[in-house]
Order: sequence, then structure tokens, then C-alpha cells
Amino acid sequence: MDQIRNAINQIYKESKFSHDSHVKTFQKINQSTKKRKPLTPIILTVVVSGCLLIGLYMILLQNDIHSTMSTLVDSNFYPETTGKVKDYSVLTRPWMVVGLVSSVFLFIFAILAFMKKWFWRVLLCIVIIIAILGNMSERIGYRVYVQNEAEIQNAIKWIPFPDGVKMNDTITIGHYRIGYFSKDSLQGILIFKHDGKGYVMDQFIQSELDTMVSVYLKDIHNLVIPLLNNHNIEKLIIDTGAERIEKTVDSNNSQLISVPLNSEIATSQLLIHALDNEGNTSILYNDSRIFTY
Amino acid sequence: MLKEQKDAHLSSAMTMYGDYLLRVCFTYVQDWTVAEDLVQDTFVKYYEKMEQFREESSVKTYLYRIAINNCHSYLSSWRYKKIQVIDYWNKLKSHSNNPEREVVLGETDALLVASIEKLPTKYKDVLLLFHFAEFSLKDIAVLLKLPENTVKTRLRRARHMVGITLLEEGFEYGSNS
Repeated sequence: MDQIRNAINQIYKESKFSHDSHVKTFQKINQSTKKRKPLTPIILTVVVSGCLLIGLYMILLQNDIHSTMSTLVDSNFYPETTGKVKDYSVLTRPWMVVGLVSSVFLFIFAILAFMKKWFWRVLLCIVIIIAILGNMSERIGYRVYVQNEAEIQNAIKWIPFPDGVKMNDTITIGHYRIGYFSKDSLQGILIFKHDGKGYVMDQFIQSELDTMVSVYLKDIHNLVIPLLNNHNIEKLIIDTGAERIEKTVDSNNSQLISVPLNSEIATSQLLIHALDNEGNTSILYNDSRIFTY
Repeated sequence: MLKEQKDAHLSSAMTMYGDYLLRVCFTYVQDWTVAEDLVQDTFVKYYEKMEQFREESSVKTYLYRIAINNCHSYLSSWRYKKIQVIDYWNKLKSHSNNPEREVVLGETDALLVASIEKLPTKYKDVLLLFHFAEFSLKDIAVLLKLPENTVKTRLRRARHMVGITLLEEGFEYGSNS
């Protein structure tokens, strides 16, 4: 006989698969034949999956109830939506994609682990999935749509600017809508861009004390010049290098002046002069204070 | 197949292979209660698939395969790992060895068995199937789903490792032949 076989049989000679074991085996067989197909893991998996999907759906749709139907306004036929809706564009960022893919894999693994009764792994997976989705939902911001001046004023609360602002002026040029507001000696400009549904908040420019920057809307060749309150400017002279445009200012309130340009310009050559009521000319905005959008 | 026939087949298989399977399982799990449990599960699985077997040789192959798979599953389970940690902790606390084990280790066969128990699982598989269960290399290759050459290599290394283990303890056994 093989020496290894002999040694094992010799050492373990006392150990027998006893009659008790025979009986227990038959008992196990009887139990397993009586046992119905286990539905609990399947039901629980369906319930957990359902809860997760509903949770995800609720997270994604949270606060969307504020949005309303689009309406067509003015001669430009830009549809206008109002309110705020979740901005899912953030989900296309690389780490968000990684998070989503990881969640999917973890979820599949959690189901597998559940089937195999690895309950600790299931729990760990669920905790990680909740952590990832929770973190992602925190990063999903809002798209704020505005239709009128009051809504622009409301939209200011979404940006880091002191409360109690005064709305100076709003202007809509094509698919841009611009709000100009101030608080004490601080000024701010909010730019809304039409995204096909409505004018959505896109850019915020905050001034230094008692100054402001001009906005050059490159794609529509338009210059938006903010004027401070109580200015004494009678005329604006815009020198693009290639052409010289004069624009009369009607009042001395803080306001936005829109200046359409004939073609695209290089802001490095752009100079905006102000002619005051005493006939003095000064440079109001130079290229360093012109924001190209 | 009638239930009485199945029961009779199972009883016969348990009588014929029960002891051997129990010993094989014990070399893996080092616990008679667990080994008995694993062998019982092996026979339960066999009972469920009994209709598929026509030849006695395939029954033996199936039983060993299931028993070894059960042992592998147990060794990778949290339950086993938890027991290992508790045992290790108890050993650290007590600083003493099992006296019964020390007495048994005084024998050559015991040393050989102890060295087999210490083998890594993949070597233990082939060594036990070849020497204890007396399967051919070809059968082992099919049973473990490995190429025959891999089985040969593992068997050679397993023998070598058993030999080395014994030599370290002052015995000569397990030549490379």
C-alpha cells in the first residue's frame, strides 16, 4: 500500500464516518428536499434594488418641481423657462463617470454577494454605493432660469454676493440676458445664456469698489458697457482700432449700454472713452477691464 | 430512480467512501466536526445528482471533487478565518502546545501526515488524490481541471516539500522519484 495512504489511514484510524453521520446526512437530504426554492434572496434583492433606484431617482429629481413649462416670448422666439432645475452636466465629468461606473459594478457585486450570502460584503457594498451616490448628488447643482427682472434679482441668491441688492438694469441681446446690480459700492453682473430651454445663469462678474468691467459678447459682436450711478457721462466713444463708434447716454443712472459692433474685434485694441458734460474725455474702460465672453 | 434505490445507493457510497472522504477533509480543515459536516454535504450533493452516475468510477471522482471543493470553500470562508484568528490569539495567550499532538508527533507516520497537513492546498490536492485516493494523473487532471503536466509538476513538488519538511525534522521520506 502507498506509504502516504497507509500513514493517513494509520493516524486517522479512529476516525470513522459514523452511523450518526449517516443519519445526519439523510436528515439533511430530507430537509433540502422539503425546502422550497429560496425566494427570500430574490425578493430582498428586488426590494433593495428598487429602493436604491427610487432613491437615486428622488435624488436626481429633487426640487425639479419648481420648474415650469416653456413659453415663447418676444420677437426672437426664444423659448423661456423659469425656475431652477438640476444640472446633470456635472455627471459627465471624469470622476463622476468613474463614480457612476463604480456604483454599477458595486451594485452588481452586491447582488452576487447577496446570492452567495456574503452579507457583510453586501452591507459594505451598499454603504459604499450610498456614499458615492450621496457625494455625487451633492455635486449636482442647479440651472437657474430667469424670465424677468424679479427673477434675475432672485437668482442673485445663488451667487456669493451680499443680500439686499439693488437691481440697476437688465438687458436682453439675442441669446444673452444680462443683469446689472449693486450693493453699496459693490457691483455685479450676471450673464444668462440661452440653452435652448430658457435663459440660464452662466457667469457672474463682481466688481471692485466703485468700478465695473465691460462685457464683450464675442459671438454676437456686441459690447455691453455698465455705467455707475450718478455718472456725468454724456457720450461714450468706442474705439476698436478699426472703427470708432459714438453712443449718447440719456440719463445719469446706473445702466447697461449695448453697443453692436460690425465685426469681431481684438479686445487688446479696444478702448472705451467717456465724454462728460464739461467736454472732458477720459478712458472709461481699457482692455484689462473688458471681459470677453 | 426510486427513493429507496437512491437511499440504498447513498448508504453504500457512505459506507464505501465515508471514512476516506472524512480523512481527506480533515487534512484540509483540521477539525473533525467540520470535516464530518463537509462530508455530509458532499453526500447530500451526490444524492441530488445521483441520476447522472452510471459507473462506479465516476461516483468516486465526483465525491472526491465535491469533497475537495467543499474544503476549499470552507478554507476561504469567513467562518474559517475567524476560527484561525481566535486560535492564533489563544495560542499567543497560552504559549503552550497541544500535548496530545506532541505525543502523536513522536511517530514517523504522524510526522508524514503532519507534513502533508502543512502543505499548501494546491499541492495537498494532488498529493492526496494521487497517493490517498489512488487516482491516475489523468483523472486528477480532469478532476482539478488542470493540464496533466501541471498535475505532474505539483505532485513532484508536493513530494519534495513533504520530504524537505520531514528532513528538517530529522527523517528521510518523500524522495523526488
